[in-house]
Amino acid sequence: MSVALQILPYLPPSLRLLLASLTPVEWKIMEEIRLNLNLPVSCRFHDNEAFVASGGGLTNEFGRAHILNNKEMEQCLLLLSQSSFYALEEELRRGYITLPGGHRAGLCGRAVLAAGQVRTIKEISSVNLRLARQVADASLTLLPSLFDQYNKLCSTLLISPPRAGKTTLLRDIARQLAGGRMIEPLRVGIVDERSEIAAMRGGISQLDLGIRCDILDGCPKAEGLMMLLRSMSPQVLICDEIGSEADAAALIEAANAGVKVVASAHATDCDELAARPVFAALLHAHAFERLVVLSRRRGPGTVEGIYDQNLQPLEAGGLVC
Amino acid sequence: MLKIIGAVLIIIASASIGRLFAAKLHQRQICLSQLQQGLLALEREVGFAATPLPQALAQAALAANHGGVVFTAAADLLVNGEGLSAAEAFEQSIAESQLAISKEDRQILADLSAGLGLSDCDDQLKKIELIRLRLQSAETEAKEQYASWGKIWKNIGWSVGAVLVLMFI
Repeated sequence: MSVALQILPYLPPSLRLLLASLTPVEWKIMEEIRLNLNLPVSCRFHDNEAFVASGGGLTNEFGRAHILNNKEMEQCLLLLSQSSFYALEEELRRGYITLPGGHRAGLCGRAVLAAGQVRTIKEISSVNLRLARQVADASLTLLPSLFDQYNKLCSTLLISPPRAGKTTLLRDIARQLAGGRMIEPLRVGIVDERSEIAAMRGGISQLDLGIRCDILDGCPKAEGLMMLLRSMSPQVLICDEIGSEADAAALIEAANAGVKVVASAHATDCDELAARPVFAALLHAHAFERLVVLSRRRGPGTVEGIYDQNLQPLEAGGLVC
Repeated sequence: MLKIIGAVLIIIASASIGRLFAAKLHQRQICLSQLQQGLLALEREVGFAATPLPQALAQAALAANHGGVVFTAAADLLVNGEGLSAAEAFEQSIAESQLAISKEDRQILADLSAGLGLSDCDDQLKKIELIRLRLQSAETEAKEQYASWGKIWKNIGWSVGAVLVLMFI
């Protein structure tokens, strides 16, 4: 199913018509659709942004742009939540909803606090639809660097700011390892806390992840890593966007249990990563033998550098996955 | 001979009308019971599995048997992608459904629609339970009504038929 067909049902009917008028090429390169209350609806592409015109198509003129009204925002939220806010309590607390196909709707509004913690978001004023795409064989050029001289997979951390292709690469690494087309196949366990890697729907992965993959969907990473480790005898554990102390503790536990870990984290480079206490502990424990720094410099998936566990560069950057 | 056939037909017709009224009372009682079964299933889906409304309503429809048409219609309206709120979908399905319930019973169901799906799990469960209890008391009332009026309607049917026959003879 194309991205347009997956996304359009979640947009209000009036906006659906306008976005349906975009060309297949525009849909193919689109990365985000931004909906802001009483502001123009915009689409972000690889290296530019354009407004959705009130008569259909795209425009750069503010005056011709379609302005999102209250009714449309309300309809969009109802469609995104299937009119079931109670079923998305955890998602609303975190500020995003994962859609079928692995797409993500980020939400902004007024936070409601309980005991100092965000309980939910109300008066939602912005929705950012981030479109997920499976890029088959995206990790093929990177994959040889993730194996040591004995041809053993190294525990790897992918590092980049948002929108640099971490999840796409992670998904393809899982697919290559579990599929075993280019390498000896491994039993892979994925903790897909945000349903972005596998986009599970009714127990079936919407994206190709190879034939030796066990997916724990919607489970907190720290708990999920331990569950997979104890129950599914994985050779490789994969999870996206680690960041808490609990995640780090579980990763160290897994790394010391004879299992390889491939994970991702938000940071611009190794120095930035090492400055965060959680990652300093991980690096100190040598939980990762490879650190791959990504950016968008030459498009999503640009490898800026590959480092070993002592943060020594192994390969120069410039490679585009 | 013609008079006897006519008399028999009048008695059968009026008896049937009486039985029809009695059956309506019985159907209301059954329908209210089925709706409660549906709401129990809805509570289970919302509270235990946090199932989104379209799927939760479909499960409620299965549990409610014939009374489930109202849940099925609401679920269909929610998934057709027009951006209707659960309240709008539920109200529309109540208005369009052919349920054997009274106007007051419909109002109880309509009260469920306000805020449906738009708050946290605990609040939704309280709301559904409250409506289920109101339907339960409506069912008790319907049972009593059937116990007292069911037989009366059946007897009135026969009696009116017999009186009419006597008048024509």
